[in-house]
Amino acid sequence: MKSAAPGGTAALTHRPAELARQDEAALLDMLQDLEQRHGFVPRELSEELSRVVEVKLERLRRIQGKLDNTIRRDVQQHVARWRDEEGNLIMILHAIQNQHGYIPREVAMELSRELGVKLARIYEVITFYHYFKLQPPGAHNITVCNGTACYLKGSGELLNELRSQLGIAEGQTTADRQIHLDTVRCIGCCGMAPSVVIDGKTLGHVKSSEIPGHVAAVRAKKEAAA
Amino acid sequence: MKALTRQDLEAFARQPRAEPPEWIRVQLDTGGIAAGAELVHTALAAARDERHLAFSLLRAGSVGYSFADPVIEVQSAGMPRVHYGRVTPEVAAQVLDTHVVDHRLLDDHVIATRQRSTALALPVTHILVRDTGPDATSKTEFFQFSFTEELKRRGLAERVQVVRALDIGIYDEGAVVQLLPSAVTYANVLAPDVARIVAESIEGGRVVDDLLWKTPDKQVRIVLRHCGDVDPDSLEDYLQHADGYQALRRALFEFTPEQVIAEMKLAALRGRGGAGFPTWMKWQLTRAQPAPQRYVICNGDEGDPGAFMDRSVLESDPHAVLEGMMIAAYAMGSTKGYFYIRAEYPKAVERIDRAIQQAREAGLLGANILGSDFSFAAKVRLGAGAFVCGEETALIASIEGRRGSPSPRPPYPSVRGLWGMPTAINNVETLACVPAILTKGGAWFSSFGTETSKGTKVFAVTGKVRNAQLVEVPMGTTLREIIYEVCGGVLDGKDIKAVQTGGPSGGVIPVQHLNTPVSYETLQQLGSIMGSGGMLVMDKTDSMVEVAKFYLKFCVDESCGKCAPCRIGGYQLLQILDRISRGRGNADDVPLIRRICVAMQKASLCGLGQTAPNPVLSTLRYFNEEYQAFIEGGPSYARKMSRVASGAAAANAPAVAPARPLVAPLPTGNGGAI
Amino acid sequence: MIRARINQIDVEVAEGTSILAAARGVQVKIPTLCKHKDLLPTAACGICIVRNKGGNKLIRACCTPLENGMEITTHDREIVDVRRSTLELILSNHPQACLTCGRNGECELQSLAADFNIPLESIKRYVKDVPRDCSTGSIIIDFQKCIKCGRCIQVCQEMQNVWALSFLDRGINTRMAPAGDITLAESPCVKCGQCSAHCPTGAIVENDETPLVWEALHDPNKICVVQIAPSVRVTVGESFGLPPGTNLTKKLYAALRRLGFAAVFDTNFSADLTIVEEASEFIERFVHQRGQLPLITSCCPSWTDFMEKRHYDFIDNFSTAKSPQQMLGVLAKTYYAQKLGLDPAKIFVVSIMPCTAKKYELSRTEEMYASGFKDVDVALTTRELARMLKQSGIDFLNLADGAPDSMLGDYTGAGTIFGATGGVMEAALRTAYFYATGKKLAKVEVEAVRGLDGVKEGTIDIAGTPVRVAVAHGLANVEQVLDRVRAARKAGTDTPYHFIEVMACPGGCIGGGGQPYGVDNERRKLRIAGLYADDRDCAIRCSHDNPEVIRVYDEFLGQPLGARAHELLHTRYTARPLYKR
Repeated sequence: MKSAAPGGTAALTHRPAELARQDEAALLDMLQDLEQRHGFVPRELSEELSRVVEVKLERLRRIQGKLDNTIRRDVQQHVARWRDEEGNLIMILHAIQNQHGYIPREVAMELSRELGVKLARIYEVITFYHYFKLQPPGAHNITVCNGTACYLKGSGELLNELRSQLGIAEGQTTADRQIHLDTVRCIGCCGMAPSVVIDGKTLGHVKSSEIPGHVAAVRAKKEAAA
Repeated sequence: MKALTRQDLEAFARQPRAEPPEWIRVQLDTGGIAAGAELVHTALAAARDERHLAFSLLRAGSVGYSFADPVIEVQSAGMPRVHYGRVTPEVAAQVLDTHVVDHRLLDDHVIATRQRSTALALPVTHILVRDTGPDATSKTEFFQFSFTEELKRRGLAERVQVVRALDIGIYDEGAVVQLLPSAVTYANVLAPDVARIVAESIEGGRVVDDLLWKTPDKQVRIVLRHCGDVDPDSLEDYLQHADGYQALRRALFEFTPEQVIAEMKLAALRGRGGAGFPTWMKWQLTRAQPAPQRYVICNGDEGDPGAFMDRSVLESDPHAVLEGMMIAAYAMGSTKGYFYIRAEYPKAVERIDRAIQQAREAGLLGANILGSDFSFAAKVRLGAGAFVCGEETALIASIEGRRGSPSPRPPYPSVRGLWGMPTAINNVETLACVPAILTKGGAWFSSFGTETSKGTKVFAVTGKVRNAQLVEVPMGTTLREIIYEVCGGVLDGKDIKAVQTGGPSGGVIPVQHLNTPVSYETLQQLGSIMGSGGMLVMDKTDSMVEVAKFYLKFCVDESCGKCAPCRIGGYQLLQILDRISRGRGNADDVPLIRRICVAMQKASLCGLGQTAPNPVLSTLRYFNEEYQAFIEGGPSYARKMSRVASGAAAANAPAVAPARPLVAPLPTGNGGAI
Repeated sequence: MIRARINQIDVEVAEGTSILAAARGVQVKIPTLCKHKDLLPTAACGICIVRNKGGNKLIRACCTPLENGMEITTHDREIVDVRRSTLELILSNHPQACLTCGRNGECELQSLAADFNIPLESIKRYVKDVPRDCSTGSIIIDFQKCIKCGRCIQVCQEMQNVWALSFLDRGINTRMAPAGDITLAESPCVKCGQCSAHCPTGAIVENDETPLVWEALHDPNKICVVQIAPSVRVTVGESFGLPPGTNLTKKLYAALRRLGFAAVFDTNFSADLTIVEEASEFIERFVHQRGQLPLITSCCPSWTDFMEKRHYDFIDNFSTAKSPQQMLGVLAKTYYAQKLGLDPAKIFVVSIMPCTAKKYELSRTEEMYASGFKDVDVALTTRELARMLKQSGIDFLNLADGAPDSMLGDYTGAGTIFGATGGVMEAALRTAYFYATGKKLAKVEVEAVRGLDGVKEGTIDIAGTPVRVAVAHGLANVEQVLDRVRAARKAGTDTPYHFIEVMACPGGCIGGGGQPYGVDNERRKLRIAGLYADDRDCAIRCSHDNPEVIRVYDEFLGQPLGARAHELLHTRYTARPLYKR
């Protein structure tokens, strides 16, 4: 069976079990050696070679995804939950963002592979929808409601004050990755405009003079945590 | 819950509404929760257990009194049922002490009912007083004192309590008095009237006709019929207390799909998402399209800044929307439906999700619902922060997992929609109307409203208005009625300058047009649109150039970027407006603005781009002089204006507004929340 | 049939015809910047707006099908005004750098702006400062010049299934770029250049390497030799105003000589050589059953790149024969250098290619240096060659015919049809038939593999055994072919095909990413017809009969698939990550 091809087959007389024990680099060398000798791969060797290719692919996947097993398992779970449902991509992205606070590239890559959706499509979607983030969020979030009612009642002032207090613009995170400042389209608390949401807690009728106090409180939380 | 049968539902329909005798209902919608309603709920539960009180603690959505969040409703034996507003945990404790235990109403938190009566059917137990003119605080106290004294004088003080109301639902009509439990209401009450009221009404049981407030409430609650009343987390509550799924039962067993559509045609309901396309026609078109699958989508991607009608309905009465969707699906022969809801509305998502789950468990979703031939499945899909996904084709793209860029129409979704199948997309409010129409009939529904716009419309009135709240009025109600009679007029008694309707796609309506009856057509004639129902009140200090800039910036941020006129036009327009508002504009700018606006209106692919210039054009139409002032006044004028604006904002910010000084401190900063 | 009126003219068109296409049929030109004949409408630019009588909105002609009874007005005062305003808006978001742009004179935006003669900039220009992406060395993306028409993205995603380019962000920040903040070289891009061929502006252009060639030509220490790819001869004329398909082979020989090349070779020659190697490979696998079937052609560098990234389970099926470009390069620096006693280090090989990926192929693997040097130094696209000719002052069209240099210049009809989809297959079959049977095909034309259908299948009888072949062009068409093979593999059944030809670009190399602008199926057909005519006119129509090919084996290479041939004429493949980052 394994006699046909001249030259290079000696190296390939190993049984599959032995092949598996060989380290990956050696296998790859062997494959390259074979290719070099034959220019193409003799049919008799294809079975062993397909195993080698598998090893190669495995390595590739790792290069592509820089994955650890946890990420893969997580993504597989999300995909398993949604695979048979129509319109699942955005729902899965929500699940991922809920888990990580943003959508890490390696997770997006793994998702692309698991779900069979091109990475380009995933990025098209992530960057289109403002809800999805590509950067890790800050430890604390300060969000100014920019609904109409809040706007009329001075949310711009609040935002200006926050910008100068934190030294960042909306959509940005402080250099120490502690505080993320953002605006949100109407949180529906128009009755208490202008409102600011700090770490999920909504504050109503906020005055710009109160902002330094709030920022200090958040920073104190950070230090307490540290 | 075991699977329901048709007979179960029929039994529910016959069964009288059974309620526990004593209860407190906490309104737990997003607005309420943000204001601390969960804490109030927790405090009430703890206090009840600690003090072994017997009342049931119930949950509900919002009745719409956003200005008074958190709101609770209390039913106690021998007491009139009342709403309390601005309830902190401390206030809640007082409510327990005063109302539940002592059977007295608590001052400064009662919101008077709008269901006013003209007959004194029952003996008076409580007198609500509230002065609605200037210097309200002292006058309210004065009237409370006068009534109390008068009652004492006649030995009635034991029987009748005088209570200062937080809000009495009538504005700028002097002192207003409401007699509970009948809710006979007197307005423009003067000091000498006190004795007369006590003598005639309290003692004599007769109505004082010359003081009687006969104007009925402007609001008609169809969409909001159960909001604040029914527990959004309980299918059982919906079934037993809100005629839940009776409309569906009727549709399935008493109507053919064609008859449902005919009833909708009779109702003449038009899409409440803004465009006003007749709902029956949308269903008819979808139904007429031969296809292996048809979809119905509930558009809950409410994104207009300042609009929260859909959120409130989804959070307060989710089963009604689901029921409406199911009836729609039955009518058009669809078996699958999606709720597309903004991810920014976690509470609405949670409640709809739960409603679907409960309905599935009860056999109201699934195969052969209630033993009929109708099968239906509903799912939730989340938006992810893109306003443009409110546009039908963009919404479909989003559900399909693509960028929410609109596609050219035709083909319309009713022909080729979700996954290429005929799809009807209905707004939340539209679907919420459907069960009511099926129950009470299309003719009943169309008895409200104007010639071309039937039924009622929910508005979220915000901005410089005294009582920011949800309002549901019949079409044809004037803007003035909505703002002044329902919402109490402009904040701080200032002069109104304009009203903005339709959000970023709408326009401003200046004060001279406030008597315009609201309908799809009239608003359009004024250069605005109905839109989804946001209504922003602006006072004299608000700069129209800034307002135009605000809305335009919103559209520029939310433009999908697909087509050039909207993507670049919006951006350039914003640059020019910004230039003008900094006093750097010149005479050529206004014609250029108009030219870009026309290009956007005519050449943009979807509604967002086509309507984005509306706020700019309508402010130019009515407030051109403000633009000219910026252009002619230059940077120094612009600086002056910006000082005025920030001053105004600061003046509006105080926690305790002068017009309502007697209320508990509002949750400012951390204090109110924890 | 749909009956309607456009500008008062009665039109009758098939159902589903767009207003734009219907208007074209009655000599009404509606301008557009985003609709391309190859592609579905994206409805992005907003220029093609027209009015239907009674409608209160303007509608887009590109994506609105004509309906019965419509009365369309394509030009009235308002329409033209809005069109002008929209164009002005687009210009306000576009760098006005026409004179130094790669598309100067051939830009659709420039041409429309000229038609409208916009006198002054009334709208302040806003162009975000974004650096160009030159990472691939084949294609350069100038993001600033992108008008977001979406053509390239549709090409990359739908037509080529490559998914390197995508729309990112939204609103005014909408941009066309690879997924995430990575360069094109780090993306799945296969350098096919179809994006550049469809771009209406200078946002995506080939990497212009003409300066390198000029420098080499002026360098007295360099011996510059040049090769011309099969398809270039029938397309280069378009850059000089000739109709597509005009065969200018001999004028090209003369012109290149005038440019200063010491020797002018023809890639058609090495195409014949590729066929000899590849047909031998096929016989080895098909007849002698050594190696995997189907055999898949590998002369298209975009296709090999695509396979290595997305279909690496087919590595063993790939023909290891190098592409004609590389075969000629290596022979120029070995065989030709030895024969003439030249120092191969001094030889500078330039290839004129229809293709942007050929620039990438030059350094694809170490086998591309088989001569001990970079086998081909620079690959120019047809567009770059046209520019060089124009710069050089050569009156190209009026030149007397020239001749190629011998040794690497003679070609057969089989070599020339390499430039058309199905051509490699047809050429290989002609030779494989001979190798298997020792007989000449009675009819050398293999009609089954000709034409513009995305996937073409056929069965050719070789010595009583049916050979099942498939030809795919346009990378999006590959998957269905490979999936059939995969399914058979999985099921353990006989392979559905024995031989597969794939060309990345629709139409094959005549539709290459480096060809003159304005490609559509009409042009593709004319260009292909030019190549088949060339084939017909050739006295010798089978690669193995090419006397120069026979001689190079006799004198230098030995046997097909022999040791020397392997060393110089074959390459290998390796699975590559789709994303490098």
